[in-house]
Amino acid sequence: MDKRRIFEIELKGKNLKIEIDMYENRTILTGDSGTGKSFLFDCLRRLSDAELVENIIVAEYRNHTALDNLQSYKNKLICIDNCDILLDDSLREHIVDDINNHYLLAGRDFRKLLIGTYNIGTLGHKNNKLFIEYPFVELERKEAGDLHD
Amino acid sequence: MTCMIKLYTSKDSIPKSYKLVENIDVYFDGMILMGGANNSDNKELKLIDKSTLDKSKSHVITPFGVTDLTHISTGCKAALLAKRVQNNVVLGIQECGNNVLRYMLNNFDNMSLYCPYPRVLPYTESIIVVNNKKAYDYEDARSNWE
Repeated sequence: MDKRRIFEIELKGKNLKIEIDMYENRTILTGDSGTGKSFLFDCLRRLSDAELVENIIVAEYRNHTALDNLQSYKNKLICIDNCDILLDDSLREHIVDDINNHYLLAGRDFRKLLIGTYNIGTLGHKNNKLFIEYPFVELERKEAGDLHD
Repeated sequence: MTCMIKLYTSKDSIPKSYKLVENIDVYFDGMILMGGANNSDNKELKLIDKSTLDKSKSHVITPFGVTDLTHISTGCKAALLAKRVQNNVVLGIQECGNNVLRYMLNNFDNMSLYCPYPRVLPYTESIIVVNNKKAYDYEDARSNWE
C-alpha cells in the first residue's frame, strides 16, 4: 500500500512547509507531547478560518462546533485535535463508517476507531518541514526487508 | 522516602470531595491567566516542548515561533498543573504523552491522576495506588482497569 499526499502548503510566515500524507482515510497522530501536533492543527484552523484553504475542517477544544455537522461534510480533510476529550463513542463510530472524508486525528485513545498499522502516525519536523511518519509501517517493511525511502 | 501517586480508572472511584480536571487545556488556560508563569516553569517547557519563557513570562519561545502559554502542548500544561494543584485535584492524563508521564511520575509526589482507558504507565519508584484499592500492576497493565 502506498501513501497519498492529501494536503500540502508552504507557510512563509513560519518558514515551514506542511505535508500531510495518508495510507487510508484516517490517521491518528500520537506519540510524545511537544512534537507540534497542536501547532499543526492551529495552523490548519487559522488557514481554514481565513478561507485560505478549501476543504479543511478543524475541531479542537477551543472550538468544536464542526463536530455537530460531521454528517454533512463530503470530500473534506477533517482535523480533530483533543480527540480523547472530544470524541464520544458515536462520533468514533461515525468516523470509522465515513468513506466520504479524510480524517486527521490527534489522540492516544484508539478505542472504537479501528486503528491499525497504516493509521498510526507521529509528527516529524525536519528541514523546515512538518510531516507525518508512520513508524509501524516502516517497522513492518524493515522486518520484511522492504524499507523504502 | 517512597512517594505515592493515586490513579483513578473510573469517575465512580474518585472521592466526591475531589475535583476532576479532564480537560487539561481549558483548566490550564484559566489557571495560568490567573496565576501566571514563573522561571521554574522553564524546566518543564524545555524538557517537554523544547521551549522557554520570554522575559515577560507571558509568552513562550518555541521551535515554531513565539506564542502564548495557551498554545504549549497539552502534556506540558498537565506537567505545569501538577506543580500547582493540590492532591485533591485529579488530573486527566488521557492526552499526555509517555514523555510527560515519565516526568510527572518521577518528579511529583502525592498526585492524583485519572485515565479511563488501559494504559501502560512508565515505570516509577513511586507507589501508584489504583482506585484507592491496590498497587498498579506493571506486568498486566490492562488488569488495572478491570
